[in-house]
Amino acid sequence: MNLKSLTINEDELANNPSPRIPICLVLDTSKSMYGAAIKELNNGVSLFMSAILDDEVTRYSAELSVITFGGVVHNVIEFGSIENQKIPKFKAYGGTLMGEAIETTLDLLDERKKEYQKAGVDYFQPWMIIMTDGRPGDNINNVITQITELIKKRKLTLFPIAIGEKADLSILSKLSPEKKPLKLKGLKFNEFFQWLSRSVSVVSQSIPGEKIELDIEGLKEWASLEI
Amino acid sequence: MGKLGNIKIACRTAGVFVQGSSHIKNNTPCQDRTVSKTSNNVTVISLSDGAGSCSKSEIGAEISTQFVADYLCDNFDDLIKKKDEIISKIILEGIVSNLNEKASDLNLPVNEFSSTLLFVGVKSDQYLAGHIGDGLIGYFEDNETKILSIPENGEHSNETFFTTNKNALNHFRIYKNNIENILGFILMSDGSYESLFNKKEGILTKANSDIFSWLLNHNNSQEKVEAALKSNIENLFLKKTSDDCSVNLLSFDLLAEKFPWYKAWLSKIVEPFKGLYSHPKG
Repeated sequence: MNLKSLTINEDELANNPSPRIPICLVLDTSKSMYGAAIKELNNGVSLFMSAILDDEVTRYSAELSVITFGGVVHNVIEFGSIENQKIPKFKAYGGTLMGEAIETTLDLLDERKKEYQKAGVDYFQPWMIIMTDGRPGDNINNVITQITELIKKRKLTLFPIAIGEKADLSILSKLSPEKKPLKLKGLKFNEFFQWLSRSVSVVSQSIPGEKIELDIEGLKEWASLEI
Repeated sequence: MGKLGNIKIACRTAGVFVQGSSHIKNNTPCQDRTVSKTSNNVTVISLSDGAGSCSKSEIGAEISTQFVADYLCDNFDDLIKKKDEIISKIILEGIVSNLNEKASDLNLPVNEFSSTLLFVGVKSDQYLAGHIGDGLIGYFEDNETKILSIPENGEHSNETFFTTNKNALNHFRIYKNNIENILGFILMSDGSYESLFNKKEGILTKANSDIFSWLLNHNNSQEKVEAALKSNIENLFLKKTSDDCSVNLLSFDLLAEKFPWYKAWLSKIVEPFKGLYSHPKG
């Protein structure tokens, strides 16, 4: 059967953007992170960004924003495609403004979602990763209500990660009532960020109606699960 | 009663479903299905996209598409007189009852058979269409490709509604009207939608009228149109999505020689579509 005459011109097809996965890294860069912890955090974030870029599908889907809280809340990397972003270098100083950092992140997420909607870009449930080695030095009660509400309505996936022995697990648990916070084994930031990039890749390749299952076994490489 | 009264309209149909790369990679079957059926002077096209996370959703898609085609062919006249909410209730109950029976046979929960559903049935001068979940129903009229029913997704990219959802009735949209100047319909799954719909502008792409022109052209058999659809999906659509892709088309037969007045009327309304008959690639 000769089908040559029944061929669509590729230019007549839609060129819709891939669905985006907004990822927010909300990172504690307070003075208690000074030394090996901040060094490993820098390495881990760098590794994460490189791993995303190496993935042919995920590099077009993942959109990263990095917010640090050390003395001040700083949106170090604004939302966008990782290929257009510079690998950041964090320094440890100041107090732990976790409440303000989360509030800022939620505002940024809201704005980004509006931009997606306006541009006709589909998006997956946003991911927020909070990493801290201490306890909030500011008021966090308001954001606990906001975050738990978003998680309940399945509008946010939260990964609270505790670093070291002094991290306030009770606060992280309040932020994430459904999923327990995870505790980083030693300074295994690299292992965590490798796991995170693999997980983002699973989501970016999922199709509507598909149940997304994260690599729970892989968690053991970097997380203590007994908390 | 519209312009055609009770006159029979001959319809042509062409439908295909093609496995996406993610399903090939995961060794899961194509979960899209299409059915077309003509009986009792009714022609129905249906399409269903099985839920990715459900183990038997391709069976659910098959049952849903076949049920709605059979039911509309047998009950079109009664059904179209009813209120929209009654129509959706009757169809949904029929589908879920068939799914329950299959689920019981295979000893599985009915949710494992979840799928979306899109259909259009036509008889004489009327059409009845329905839609739950993602995918899109379009139609061809006045030299344009227009949208009858848009996808209903959740806020996020991988969320939609299925026939087995508890609140499925709230998401089941029914459309019925006179055919008037409509020349045909197109159903597409969300995989095909990535190629056939421009999301930013909210319009169907020109490729829709291209493929519709293939069906309007009587030199192309149904088998040829289906083979062309499959080939274009494999070579072009699957570059843009890893999901399964399906399309189902229906056109009103333009060679209604037995009814000269109908032919005259039809040629008048298809005048703007003439370009399609002599399509440069056709």
